[in-house]
Amino acid sequence: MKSGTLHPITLLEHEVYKILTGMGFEITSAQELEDEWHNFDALRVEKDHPARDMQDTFYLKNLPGMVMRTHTSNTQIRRMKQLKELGVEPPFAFCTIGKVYRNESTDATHETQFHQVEGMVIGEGINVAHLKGVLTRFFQELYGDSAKIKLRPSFFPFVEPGFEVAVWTGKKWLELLGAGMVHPEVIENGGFDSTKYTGFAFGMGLDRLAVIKYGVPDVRVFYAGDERVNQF
Amino acid sequence: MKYSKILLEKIYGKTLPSNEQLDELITEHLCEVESIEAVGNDSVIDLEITPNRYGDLLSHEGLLKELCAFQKQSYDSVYNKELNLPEVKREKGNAIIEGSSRIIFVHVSGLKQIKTPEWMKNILSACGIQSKSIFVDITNMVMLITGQPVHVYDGSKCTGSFIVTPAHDGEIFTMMGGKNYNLTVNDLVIRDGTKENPNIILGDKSGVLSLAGIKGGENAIVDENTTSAFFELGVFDEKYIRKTSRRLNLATDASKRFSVHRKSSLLDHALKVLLILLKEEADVAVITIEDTKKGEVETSAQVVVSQQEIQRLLGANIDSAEIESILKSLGFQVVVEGELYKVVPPLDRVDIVYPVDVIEEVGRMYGYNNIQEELPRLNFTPHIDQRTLVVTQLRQILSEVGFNEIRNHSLVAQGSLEVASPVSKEKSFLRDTLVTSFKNSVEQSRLNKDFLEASNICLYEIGTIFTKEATEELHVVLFDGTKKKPLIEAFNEQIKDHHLKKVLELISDEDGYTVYKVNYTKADPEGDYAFIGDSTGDTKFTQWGTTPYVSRDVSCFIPSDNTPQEVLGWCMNEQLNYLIKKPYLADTFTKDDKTSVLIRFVFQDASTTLTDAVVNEEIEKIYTMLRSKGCEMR
Repeated sequence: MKSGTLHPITLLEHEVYKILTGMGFEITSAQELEDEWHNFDALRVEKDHPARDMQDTFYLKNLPGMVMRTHTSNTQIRRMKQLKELGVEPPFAFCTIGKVYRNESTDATHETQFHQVEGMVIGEGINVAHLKGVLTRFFQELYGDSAKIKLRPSFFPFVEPGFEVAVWTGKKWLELLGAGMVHPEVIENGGFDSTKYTGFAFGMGLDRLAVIKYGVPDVRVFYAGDERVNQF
Repeated sequence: MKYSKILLEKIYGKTLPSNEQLDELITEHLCEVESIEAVGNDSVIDLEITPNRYGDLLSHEGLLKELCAFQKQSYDSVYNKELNLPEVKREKGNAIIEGSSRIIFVHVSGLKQIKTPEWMKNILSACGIQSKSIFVDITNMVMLITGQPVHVYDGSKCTGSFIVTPAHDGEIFTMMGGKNYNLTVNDLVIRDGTKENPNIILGDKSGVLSLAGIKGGENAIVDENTTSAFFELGVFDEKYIRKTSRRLNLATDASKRFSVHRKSSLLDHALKVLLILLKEEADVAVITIEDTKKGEVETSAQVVVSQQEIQRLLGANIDSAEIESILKSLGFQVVVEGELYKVVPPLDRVDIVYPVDVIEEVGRMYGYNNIQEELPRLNFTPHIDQRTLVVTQLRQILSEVGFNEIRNHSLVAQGSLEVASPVSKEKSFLRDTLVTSFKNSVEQSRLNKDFLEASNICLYEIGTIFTKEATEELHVVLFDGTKKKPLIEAFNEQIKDHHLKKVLELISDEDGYTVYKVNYTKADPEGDYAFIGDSTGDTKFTQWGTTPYVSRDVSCFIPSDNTPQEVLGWCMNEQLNYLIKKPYLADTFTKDDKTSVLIRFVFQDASTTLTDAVVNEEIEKIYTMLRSKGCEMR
């Protein structure tokens, strides 16, 4: 019997999971319909603050306080709290790949839903050098041994310092992800002692990785339910 | 924000590095450089300033401080020097009722009709601001230089008795340009105090002169006849500004700068720059200033951080002298006590609150790219959560038995939960079933059978749906388009003794669509799984057009020395126009030592529907080629 075909997002998802689990990350999941506290407040994205404007949000009629998650970073808080309840202390490293939503007009490079890869590592003495080490290794697995990264200062309320990360894919530099050292308040909101533990987190668009890898000219084909995208 | 290199150099009094060097320095130590482009004699530096730095970096002086620190040079501004100021009379300030910690009004009269000088026009234009009149242009220059928004009112259209106060509910504000806004008590306004009358709510009579910190009104607008003016420099409570700006959807240069806290002492410097420009560029001689300054000296809160904390978080052994030097280069007051740095940031660095904020300063100035990579050594046992485990196992089995995967959008035209402000009617609900979109996918695949090289349509989708109780459920839907449903049968056989049997709850099985709810929490968490598929190939995506396909089947007996694959290879090597995909073997059979192949060609022109004549011409090339190779056409 001939095997069925897989969606390109699935292929990339599987590849990323293979790399991250190979590096010791556990896989976790969190909900897409999320409360504002887990999506924003616990991650220090204050109400009315310009930082909240950075992400156009889908709110829901008759469901005050709920949003379609704008990023997979809600998983940071959800998983830390779960681990705390289970009595697990750091170190831990987890990742997730999930659907996120942005209320913005769509075009060939923007879609109202897409997938993000999220990773978080918490432990004693986790630092920027470790973040660089893990991301470099990740991209070398993805793009080959010549892959390397460079960091540019940036700002996300849930990390400090925060970075935009550019990746040398072997052919060119591409800005592929945001990352940073987890803000002490976020570690506390997850239930852990920020004077004892530090950590890093990163997040990137999986659809973008797929667009780059396969040369897809319009991201909207991914969620049109069209079997013709399964070309790989 | 757009910065003019000429203005930066004018403030600095020295030449800055080349554009290439600036690009490199800013990217390494500060933020994203959108572009640096030459405009006339100037270069426009366009930077993506993140909200945490709105307090200092939305100004040329702010950027200049950074540029000096990157080059280990001391910062200076021409506006810090003692310059020739006009004669100033100081008076007691106007009333602040709420929402401002300080406001200054600068009254100038006997104004001459002076045109904005070219250099100023050019700088404003480089920064994306249109030149209007000398007085308005000067307010914009103060903002570009210092970051302090300034507003100017025509002195003949207001009495000069100003108050800062919340608006009345229902009050109408007419903005510059004539657009009306309905105000509430949550909006802060600057009002002509002599006209304060809560019973009058019409814009022009209520005395509202401006929406504080956001935009000026139509009431006291300056024009070419203005001979007396009031310049307003204030600081406003960011909570008011953010709420009003968001509610009225009114984002302005001023509202952006007031969306973070501004310290009132910063007004002293902005006032000085304003006075210099009024004297030098508008020939203003005498000025009266009303200032609500209370006299206390403001400082930033001290942040204490240790060398160990800095080294621990950055993973770099930065020595004590370098840390101190970096912080001082950014204008921080630093007291070193043993391992501790007691740091007081400059007044406009409102982003520096926690020790990690100071560590970031050290890190970005030291250079993140100078930190050596290292893999952490952590001792823990990784595992996979039940949801991902079950999804992965389902995909594995469904793929093995021959189902193809599709993915649809979660936002649809009908559902139980409605989205507020949707992007379109088609995407205004969260899906509460996978089936509706999935049926369309099946239909679509039927139409695209030839493109898909499929004789039967066999699809599945795994995805989240959203119930009216606002919960999420994981569902899977299957469709087996073959007559005897062998795929469904094979799937059932595979899960018969699998833990997925207890995980899958049949919801419906109608018209060939089988839907399960996936109760993944019932899954055996230790089950085996594999991330199937291979994404290591170099195949690139083929985008299909929207015009109809034309398929042509070519059938022939092939020479006995050749295999069907070889014959297919000949067809692939033939240069044909309009082929949307590689030809493929749709069928082969052997009878009486003769092998017949059926090769399918799919044509499409993205811009127009192909005619038979055009396609026949292409396919004729194949016939000719196959005959020449000894094939017997059927």
